[in-house]
This record gives sequence, structure tokens and C-alpha cells, in this order.
Amino acid sequence: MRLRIKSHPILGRDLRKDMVSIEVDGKVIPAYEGEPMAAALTASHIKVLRKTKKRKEPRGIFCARGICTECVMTVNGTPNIRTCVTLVEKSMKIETQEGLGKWREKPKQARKKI
Amino acid sequence: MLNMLRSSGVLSEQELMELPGVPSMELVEKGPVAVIECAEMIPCNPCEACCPTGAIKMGDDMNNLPIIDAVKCTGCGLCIAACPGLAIFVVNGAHTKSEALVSIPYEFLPLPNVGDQVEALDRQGKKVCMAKIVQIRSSKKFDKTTVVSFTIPKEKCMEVRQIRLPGGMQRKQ
Repeated sequence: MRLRIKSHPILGRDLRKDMVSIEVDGKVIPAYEGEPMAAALTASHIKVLRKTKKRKEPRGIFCARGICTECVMTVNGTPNIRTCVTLVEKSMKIETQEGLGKWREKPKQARKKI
Repeated sequence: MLNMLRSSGVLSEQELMELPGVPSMELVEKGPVAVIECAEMIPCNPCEACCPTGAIKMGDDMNNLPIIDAVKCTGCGLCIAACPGLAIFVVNGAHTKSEALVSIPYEFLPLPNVGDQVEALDRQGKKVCMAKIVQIRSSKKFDKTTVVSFTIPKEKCMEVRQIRLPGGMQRKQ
């Protein structure tokens, strides 16, 4: 079932044509460049965007306006990216985030011994 | 007051006929007239403002429920598109001997085609009969709200307030 709105009573017709490729958990999906990531994910029928920290329960879009952080995913290695307000860039690498996600490892600082 | 509306979200027939914006069956059967099913006192007056003949009035307080003057009303339908609550319809109980012509605001896509047979629904969304699409109007004054007019059996003219096109979610937009 097609999940994109082709024609809208107020917004008119969707005249966008050129799509780019982005990667979600290794799978390549099409997206319009500059559209909210959550729109592209929904259009590809991807509803589960992350798993909760404690019980690993699935979560997805909730408020759709950037204030609830239910839709966050790890993008190009950076966790906690709100997919409903972050726009698609081509070749983005998106991963279903587990819990709070992992930041890139920083090299351990040498500790000064007094 | 308005117990059915408050508890179920749908106006009962008795509550409907008591509203000042709803003309009597006698007036509906005389010709096209606006039926304003507005039951909540909120500050809102596009209906009064857009009426070209001054048939809709709410007095000095825009919180008041609108009152319809069936004599002044020409059934033009400007108020159908103007009402943000989608609460205004034009009912013509004199369209033919057996059928009434009902005009509703229709804000979905795809639009039906003139001549289509569609399901006619009551205020609860239940199908009560079939309707035949007679006219589809999208004018600049209606500001992106399409007004669809259809015929139904006359006795259903105060029940039917929505249509459902066949095909469900598989319809092409």
C-alpha cells in the first residue's frame, strides 16, 4: 500500500521527481533529498525506529514535530537524531538505535598522577 | 441540554431540530436553505460574515449560535465552505417529488465524479442509503473546500451529511 500523499486538497500535487538513496540498517531505500527522514522511513514501511533502553520495546514517530524524541535514530554514527525534524541527505547511514545509543569512542585521556 | 451530543459526540434528532440554525422541515421542503448544525457557543462568525443576503445572524455577541432566516437564504452555499467546523449544509427538500438535493463540504481526495453512485452516511458515519452526485463546485470563494451536491430519498434529507466513495484505501488519489 502506497504511504505517500500524491495529491493534497490544500498543498496540491507532489511534483518531486529525483530521489536519492539512503541506507537503513544496511538496507538501501529511496528518499527525496531534503525531506524529513521520518517521511522517507514511513514511505518505505519502516515503523520501528528504535528500541527502548530497559525493555527493548519498539518505538516510532509520535509527536512528529521534534519535541518528544520517540523517533530518534543513530545517523552516520551519531545517536539521538530526531528523524521527524532532520532532513534527508544522500548516502545517509541510518541505524535503529538501541537504548541511548553509543557515541564514538574518545581516546582515553592520560591521568595525571599527583 | 445537548446530552446526546455531549455523551456520544453526535446530535440527536431532537437536539438538532432545536438549534436556531436548523430550519423546520416545512421550510426545508420549500426549497434550498442552509442548515447550520452549530451547537457549541464559541467565538466564530465566518458564516455570518460570508452570507451575501444577511440570512445568518448571531446578534451582538459572536459566541451566540447562528440563526438562519430561511426567507433571506437563497441556498447559494457560500456558508458551506466558510464554516471551519464543517457544520453547515444546504438542503433542498423541493428538488424533486421523491428526492432531496443535499450539499456538503467535502475535503478529501479523490473527488467523486458527477453521476457517481456513492454511499450516503448519517452523522454517526453509518450508511443509510445511496446518493447520486449531481454537482461538484470548487470556486475561489470556497477557498480549497469543495462543495459536493447529491440526491437522496427525501425522507433522509435531515440524516445524510456525508458520502463515502467506493474502493476504500486502494482508491487512486
